Amino acid sequence: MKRFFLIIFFISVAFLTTAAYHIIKPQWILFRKGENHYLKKEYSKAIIYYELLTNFDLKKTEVLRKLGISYIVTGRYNKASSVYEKLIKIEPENQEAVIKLAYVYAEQGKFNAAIDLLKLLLETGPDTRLARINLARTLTWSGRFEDAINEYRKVLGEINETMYR
Amino acid sequence: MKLCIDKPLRIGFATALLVFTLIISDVSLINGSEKAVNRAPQTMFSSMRTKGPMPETGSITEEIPDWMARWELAKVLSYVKKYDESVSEYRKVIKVIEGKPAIHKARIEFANVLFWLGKPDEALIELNRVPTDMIDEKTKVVLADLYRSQKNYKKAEPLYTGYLEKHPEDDSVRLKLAEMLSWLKRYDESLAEYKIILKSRPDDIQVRRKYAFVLSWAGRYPEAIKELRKTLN
Repeated sequence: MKRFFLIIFFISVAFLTTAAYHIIKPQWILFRKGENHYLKKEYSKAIIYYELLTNFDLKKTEVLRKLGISYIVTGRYNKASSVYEKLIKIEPENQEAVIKLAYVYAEQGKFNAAIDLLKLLLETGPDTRLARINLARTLTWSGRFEDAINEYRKVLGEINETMYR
Repeated sequence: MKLCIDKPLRIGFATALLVFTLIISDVSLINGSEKAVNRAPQTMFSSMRTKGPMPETGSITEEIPDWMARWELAKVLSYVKKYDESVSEYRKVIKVIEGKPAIHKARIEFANVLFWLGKPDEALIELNRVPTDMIDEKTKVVLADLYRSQKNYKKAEPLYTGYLEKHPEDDSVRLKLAEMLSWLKRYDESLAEYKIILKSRPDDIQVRRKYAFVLSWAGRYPEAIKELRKTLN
């Protein structure tokens, strides 16, 4: 009999602990659920949880980063751009976010905005090579092939900045 | 309390408790760890880059090797018809990626550029190095054209017919097949192809004249005259 009560007691403790966890820290539950969907590449489902999480401070930048990627993958570029703009406001030095924002702009057909952003990154960012490759790609995409060729040549070290200017 | 439960039972309880907690809280220790999340890089972008002339290789923010940048450069050079420079870059790329899975795609593109540059023999050499099932539909037509230019009609024909099965509306490819069949003196088959083309473009004088010539080669002179008259009216 004692054993029976003990089992009931432990199960009750487990249940109450979990229930309390859901009530006290719902953001963690949302985060884990979002994460699980994200890892399974179920981006539309992940978005539901990450969007809710933007109301909390939990892992703010990580949530925004993954939300941005999920939006890009599902083709929601307007939402993706606002997410990356938010992320850049929080972390202005986040090169990855800037490059992705430029990519989103290009997807939206805002080539000049994308090119300006990447050029700015070239002046200020730590990894000019990556920024330059993305600049070359965006120039290609926008049909500015000659400019793209120059940028690729610079990436490959075949021409330098001064020669280009 | 401690005394009333023996050790195996305690371990059992503890395990059951842990499992139960994990199940009802929908928390996965394996999938949900930070490491696991961060391990999923932005590799999905490689499959997204299919729009317009945007290079398809590589992702947005991961490390991009020189050969990939050079490959993209080679492509862009071909867009502006700088074929000589493009060929030179493709040669460098192919030298580096020999043995990698991307080699076939690079060779196909390289062969196309060689073809546009007017080097059909070199283009054919490159395409022959690629397994046929890896060649895209449009390049199969290029390959067929190359075989046709070398009078290797036996190899060209299945490539044309295979393509036309999937793209029956492509009159330009059908015309190539029709011409080739007439050179092989398979007039009935050739005329059948011409008829299909003329059905979709009855006012095309050039095609009708070619059709008339094939009729004459087949010895069907009255029909040939009739068709030629149509082109003169």
